[in-house]
Amino acid sequence: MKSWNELARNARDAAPPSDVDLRAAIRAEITSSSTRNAVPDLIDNLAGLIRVPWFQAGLATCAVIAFIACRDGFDIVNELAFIWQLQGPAINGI
Amino acid sequence: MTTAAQPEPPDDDLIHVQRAQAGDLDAFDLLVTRHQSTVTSMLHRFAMNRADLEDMVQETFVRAWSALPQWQPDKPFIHWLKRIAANIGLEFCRKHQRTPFSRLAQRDEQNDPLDQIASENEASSQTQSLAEAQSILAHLPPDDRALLTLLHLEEMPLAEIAAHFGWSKINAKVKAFRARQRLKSILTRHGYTLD
Repeated sequence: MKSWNELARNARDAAPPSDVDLRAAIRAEITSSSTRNAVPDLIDNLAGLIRVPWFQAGLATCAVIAFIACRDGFDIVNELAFIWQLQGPAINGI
Repeated sequence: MTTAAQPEPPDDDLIHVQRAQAGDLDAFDLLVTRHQSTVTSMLHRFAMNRADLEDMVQETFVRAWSALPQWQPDKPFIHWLKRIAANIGLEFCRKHQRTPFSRLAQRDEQNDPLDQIASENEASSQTQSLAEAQSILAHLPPDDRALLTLLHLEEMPLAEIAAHFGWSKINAKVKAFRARQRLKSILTRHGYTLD
């Protein structure tokens, strides 16, 4: 049986690559990300708006008002749906 | 004989960090130059693959730049940087969690003759040991893998790991105990003992 501690000790001595120099890449990434942040696009603005509590509350209020306003019209909608449903077999018969 | 407590050396980075906080990229360049070898060395324990390693080092410094306004001078800059690097290591473990398919992918990679020639020529015994240790640790869940990588390969104290990952010391001890138990059973399958 081999020893894990021995393996870990050898592994700790493994030298990392000495020629890693990422200054240019890091600088480029920082510069590009700051440019991206400076000009937020339309989707970001919309996403930001959706996250705002007053906007969510307004949307919920609109939904409630629309539901109340349309509730009276449900009977008519049901009648229309029924007629539409009847038309199916009739058209098939033709 | 008792040794007197050594006063902490002044943080040489302070002036550069303050300039970088004000938006000076050249000052941040100096910090990168000074600390990239430390960060590379730490993240090398997680990934030996050059591309992965460079990605992680770059991500560490880019995140550090974004979070610079939150840095407080009460702790050395390098400690704060290591915290970011440790969390990037943890994310790497989560992203590269071992699945039944990863074994197939690994086999394909190993069969690449160019890789074999390169590894025969370049790999030292320490490098092979690190590769084997990483391969064994990859069988663990991501949190355990990151924890034991830092504990066994980086020799980072448990309290420091706990601070980096935002765990309490007790929680870190429990996690380390459970991780070691899991490692023990994996080591047995690979013909190793946890002394």
